[in-house]
Amino acid sequence: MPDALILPVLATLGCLLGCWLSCRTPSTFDQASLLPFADDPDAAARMTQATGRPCEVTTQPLEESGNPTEESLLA
Amino acid sequence: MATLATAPHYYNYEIVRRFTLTTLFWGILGMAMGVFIAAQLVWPELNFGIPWLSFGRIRPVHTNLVIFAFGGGALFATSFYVLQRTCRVRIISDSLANFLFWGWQAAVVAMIVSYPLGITSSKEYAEMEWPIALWVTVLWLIYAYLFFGTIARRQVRHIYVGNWFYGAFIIVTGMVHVVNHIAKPVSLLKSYSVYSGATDAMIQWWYGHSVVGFILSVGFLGMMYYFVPKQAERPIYSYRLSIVHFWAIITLYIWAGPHHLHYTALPDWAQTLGMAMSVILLAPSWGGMINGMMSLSGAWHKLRTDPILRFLVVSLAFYGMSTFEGPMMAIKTVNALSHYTDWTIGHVHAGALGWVAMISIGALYHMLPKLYGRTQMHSVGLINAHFWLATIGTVLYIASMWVNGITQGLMWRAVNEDGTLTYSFVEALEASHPGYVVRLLGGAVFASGMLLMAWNTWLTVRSGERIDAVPATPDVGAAAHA
Repeated sequence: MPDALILPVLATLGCLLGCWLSCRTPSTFDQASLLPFADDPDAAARMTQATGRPCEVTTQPLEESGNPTEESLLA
Repeated sequence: MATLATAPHYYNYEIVRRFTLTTLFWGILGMAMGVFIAAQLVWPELNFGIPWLSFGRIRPVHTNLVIFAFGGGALFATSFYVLQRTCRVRIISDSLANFLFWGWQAAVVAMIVSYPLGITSSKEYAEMEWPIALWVTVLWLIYAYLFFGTIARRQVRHIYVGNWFYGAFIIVTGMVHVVNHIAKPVSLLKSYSVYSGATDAMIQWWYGHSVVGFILSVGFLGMMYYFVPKQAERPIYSYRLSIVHFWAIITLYIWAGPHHLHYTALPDWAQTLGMAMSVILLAPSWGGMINGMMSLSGAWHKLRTDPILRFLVVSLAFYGMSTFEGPMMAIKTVNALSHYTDWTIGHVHAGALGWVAMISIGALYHMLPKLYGRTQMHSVGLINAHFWLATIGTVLYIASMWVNGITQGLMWRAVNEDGTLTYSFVEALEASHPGYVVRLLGGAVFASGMLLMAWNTWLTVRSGERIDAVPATPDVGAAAHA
């Protein structure tokens, strides 16, 4: 067997290690999975109503200082 | 999960808008080039006897435009959008972001000008000569700095999984780009690879399949993990599965390249390793696909009325189909039939049109109204028409190439009792002609949908109803619990 075959074996071990390290604190996953909604109160409210999963902290992004002007639309 | 109540800065949507619009522009141009070269395969007279219009020179213009200009642009736009919104922070440098934008456009122009002139490294998907490759490396380092620098300044403790995929795409793409482009320049516009023979081939397809794996799969999976849940208004089905998906796919994809070199001078153990890793790759690919699909649990009814969600979900269906087909084609006995035939072209376009283009289109339709302060796209009907054109075009394309590929493979391997070939190459070519006509039709149908998108975008940008400026809200957490 070529020595190079040790590399995919090491990669597989790296994968298992990565999964283990990343999944050690699953308690944070519930809110982490809601991050796409955490800056969109309306979407978060609809998601919560449909699934019963509250989005703990929701912030609304600051809008740009004004809506894009006609001149800046294609900027 | 620690979060701040307010975003400390305005998000930089201008850079997202720029990349979004150029993605559309290059997408239309790149697909039009694809339609043109498909027409050349139906009517070879369309070469017009002009060298720079020949298939061999225009084809890399098509591939580079759709991969790096359209696909790359979609990844730049969505990664900056997702990054800022999930990290709750503005991108760290506007000036560098602008430099990246204009630098990338310059690189694309340099590519599409140099290839028809015959200035090419001749490496597939890596045709750019050394000055362009060097320039792209500089831009990629800036992109990595912007991405990971913004991650470092995030206002949220957890890094959303979509950003993991974007990050892996950035790191690995940079790595394989640099390694594959190491060359010795002999003039301003000509260089020779430092690798030779089977080593050169192996490096090239290690790069080539990593382009498929880390740009066209992992990068767009990052897109999927944000836009599918957001558009469906459901969280991802299993966050834990998404993490296992991430580690498994980045571990496996990098080893699959040798399946492009079955039955060549590459050592047999390397071919077998590539085959085995490609087959194993089916598991994480389908894990991700199922994770995305199942996120629609309880929201399937939305597919009836939401063509953007339909784009996203059908793209996942094509992703599942092409990531099943790929491992099967990587098996050496199957590859003996499929390799060098149009089956490979069909497989690539199942992924390119069905997965990459459709999820990009869905993501752009999702972002566009938000980027321009509109409630929705100007015409939902046009999005719906675009969806059907894209779906029908993709099906026509891949079905015709499947038929062509299997026909070619069987005709090429047929032998008479005395061991001579049953068919000449030209006979197989003639048998392929109807398939080329259908492929042209499918490609043209798909590209026409992009024109509808451009028209709809123009109407949305210019004449849509504006949302009044929303004042910054310090804490609207209560809204989420309403």
